[in-house]
Formats: sequence, C-alpha cells, structure tokens
Amino acid sequence: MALKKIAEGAEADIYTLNFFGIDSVMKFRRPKPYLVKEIEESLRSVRTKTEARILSKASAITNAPKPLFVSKYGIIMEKLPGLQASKMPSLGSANAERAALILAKLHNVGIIHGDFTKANLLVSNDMLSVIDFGLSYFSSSPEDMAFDVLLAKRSISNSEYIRFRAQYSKSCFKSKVVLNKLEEIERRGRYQNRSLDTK
Amino acid sequence: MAVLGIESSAHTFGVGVSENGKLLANVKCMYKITDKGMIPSRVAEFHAGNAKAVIKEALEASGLSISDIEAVSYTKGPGLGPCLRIGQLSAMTLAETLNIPVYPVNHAIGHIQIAAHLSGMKDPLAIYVSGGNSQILGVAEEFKGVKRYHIYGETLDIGLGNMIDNFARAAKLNPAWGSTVAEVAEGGKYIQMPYTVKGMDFTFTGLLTNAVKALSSNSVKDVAYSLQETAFSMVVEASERALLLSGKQGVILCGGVAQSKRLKEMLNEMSGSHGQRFFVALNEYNADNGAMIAYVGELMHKHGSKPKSSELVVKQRYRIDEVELQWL
Repeated sequence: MALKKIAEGAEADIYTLNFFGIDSVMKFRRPKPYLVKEIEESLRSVRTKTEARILSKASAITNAPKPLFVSKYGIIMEKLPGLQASKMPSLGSANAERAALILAKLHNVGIIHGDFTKANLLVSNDMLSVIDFGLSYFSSSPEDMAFDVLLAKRSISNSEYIRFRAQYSKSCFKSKVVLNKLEEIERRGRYQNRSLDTK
Repeated sequence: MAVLGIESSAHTFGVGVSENGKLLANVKCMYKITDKGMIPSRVAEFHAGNAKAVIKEALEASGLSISDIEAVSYTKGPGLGPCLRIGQLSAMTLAETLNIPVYPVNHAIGHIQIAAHLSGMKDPLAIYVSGGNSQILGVAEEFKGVKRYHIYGETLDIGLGNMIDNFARAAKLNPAWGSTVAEVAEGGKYIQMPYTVKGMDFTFTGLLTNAVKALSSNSVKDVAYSLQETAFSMVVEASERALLLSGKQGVILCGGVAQSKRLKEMLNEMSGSHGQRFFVALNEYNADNGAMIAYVGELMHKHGSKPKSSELVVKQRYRIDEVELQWL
C-alpha cells in the first residue's frame, strides 16, 4: 500500500495507492494552522464527512469515485481513469453534453458539486467522470444549482456551453427554474463577462 | 521624469509623486466619516475645498517644482462619481495649464501595482481587499501579448471592508471601522458563524446578518472576534486555492483592509506553508493614496500610452478586468 503524493490541492493532499488490490486515491485534508481551531476542525472533519456521504451517493448514480474507506480527515476512494479536462486544449461538445448529464443527475438527487469546472472533469476515451466533491453539499435550492451551472459556463467555451445547456435542460427536472435563476445571478452585475480561462 | 497622481475615489483626497518608480510624495486628506457613513456630495465638496492645498503640499514634499512634473494621472474609477470628478477635474486643470499629458488610472490597478512594485515580485497572486472590493487576482495573458488582471475569485455581494464597517456601526463602535473591530475582538471567544466559500468566490452578507443578530445574546467582543475570524478565513481559504491553481509565485496583499494585523498574519502563514513569500506594503500605501495613481500614471507615460479624450472621464463602475495592461 505504498503512498505516492500526486497533487497538493488547496485543502487536501492527494495520494495514489493500491488499496487491497484496487487502484485508489487518498485524499487527506491538511491541517490549516492559520485558522482558529473551531473553524479548522469544522472545515476538515465536517467537510470530509459530507464529502464521503456525497461520494457514495454520487458514485451510485453517475461516474464519480466510489469511497472505499473514510477516517476523520481522509477518504480513500476508487481511482477513475482519464485526464483533467483543464489540461486538454478543449473539452469538446460531446464531453460538454456528458458533463451536463452528470450535473443534471447530481442535481436531481439534490447534490450541489460546488466546484464544477474543467479541472474537476476527467476525460478518458469515451467516458467522462467528475471528481473532487470537496466543496459539495446537499441542497434543493435552484440558486445553488445555478451556481454550479455558472461555474461550468465560465470554465468552458461558448459553443460548448450551448450544447451543455441544451443537455442540462433536457435532463435536470428543475432546469427551467435553475436557468432562470442563473440569468438573475448574472444580472446581479458583480461578475458579468467573467471567464475562468486562466491560460 | 516625475508624474503627479491624484486619488479621490472615496473619502480620501490623495496626491502622490512618482519619479522612476521612486515615490517622492504621498500626501492625503481624509473626510471624517460620521455615523451616517459617506454622503457622496458632501465628500466631493470636502475634496474640492482641499484639492489645491494637498497638491501644493505634495509638490513641496517631493522637493520638486511644478515644472518638473511631466504628466498627471487621476483615478478614473471605480468609486463615487462626485468624488472622482473632483480628482479628474484637478488633473485636467493641471494638465491643461502645464500643457502635459493626463492619464486615467483604474483604482484597483493602482492598489495592486504599487504593492507588486514595492514587493519586487514579478508575477504574484494579489489579494485586494478594501471597502467596496474583495478580489483575488493575477495577471493573465489572454492572447498574444494582451495582458489583463484576471479575477480568480471575489466577493459575490459586498466588500470585506464594508461588511466590517457595517458591523461596527450596528455594534455602535466608535470610530466605526475595521481597526476598532479588531481592538474589540482581541481575546474573544468563537461563536459559530456562516462560512460561505463557493469555489474561489465568497459572500459576506449572510455572515453580517448573523453577526448583527448575535449581538443581542452575546458580548460584542465574542461576536467581533468570530466575525473577523470567519471573514478572514474565507478570504484566506479562497486565496490558498487560487495560489495553488494559478501557480503564481508569491502573495501580495493590498487595499484598505490590508492594514489588518490578523489578516496579514493568516496570509503570511498560509503562503509560508506553500513555500511562498508574502508581502504587504506599509499602511500609507494600502489606504487609498495618490502615490499609487502616480506610479501607474508613470508606467503608462513611459509606455507611451495615448488615451483618447473620450477615455478621460470618470467611471463609477470600472472593472479591473476591463483594463489592458500595456505596460507589462
């Protein structure tokens, strides 16, 4: 079960390991000594617990990593194949539709991803998966769902978004309210025309 | 070559002089905020009354004479319209009289650029927190050679400083601003508060409402402490994510709230934990000031930027990502 650190995320370190014969990923939430104890504890343990619950629900309905073992600050989960979409030249319209379908499925069971950007989409041959549920939570509010769509929209190109939106409209039960809410959010003005492309 | 810069976006009328990146003068005159907050027309009147004296004082402090000034710059926005107009008018008058060029400067760029300049870092992550703004940014190249500040994350509702000031007024603190809240918060106990980070964005209104409500059943000390810790934690957490995602080298903090000791401490520790340097300028360059406007004006001047006369206006909502950074 040799550990190999593959990434240092904003709040967690990611390792790969072989967990009882399964290729896995371990996510460990680092201590944040600069925060007061109470906030740190809640960020680390509460988020880990929520993430594990959400992962088990999400992995049952769509391509998301299945949790194999959960401790107070860490989760070992199944390793999914593919490359981060943010590291590819473009997502492509077929994958944009797949992403929309995934997001719609999550929203249909009340899961908000919270960081639905290209960096958290894994692309392999003909499969798209979503990872990093570190900021996810349960909610049935259209506004929360609209924020997921907004993050996706800012992270992909316009033509990809058109396909994304069409697929999401078909697959998400609440799509109508959500997309209306999205327009309302965009009209609030602070973040018009903001894109997430950092390259 | 010396450039004189005028800042008047809010309560401060500031005049600075920059010569080859050396900040020769930084003089300011600040409108005193009462419990009613800021009434833009009153503040503008105050600026108009002080403009001449402050410009004179800055020139004296710089040791230069008016004929050494090669260009002037002013804050175009964002800010309060009536206040901005006084700065613009002063700059235009100077430029017209002396027959020298005039440059419009984005206020936020002023804050960030001067902090970056003083830090000596090439391409840092910038955390800009003031009354009206709270943004995490870095320079990004859009396409061939066109650079702009890219906003990784920002407040989705009100600015960090405004939120703290609002709380200070609700708690009847005097003077009602951040340093008073920080003093009161010393040694407080933590009460749970709503913590809202969405990706690299954050929101403050929920926290504010909750804190104001909590005042009725808790001591001001504990609420102030919890409010401050929660708000700063949100900003630092979002910054940490931005730092790792953007791959920027070094972290700078700027804007009015950069004067907060606790925020500096938290960001310093966060940056250090990733092996990154952290820099924050002296308070006089974090509060609104003329030196930063002079400095950016000088960059524009050196780069031969030629603003059209239609650009020499004020713009209350002037987003930082609208500005092309020709001088970088």
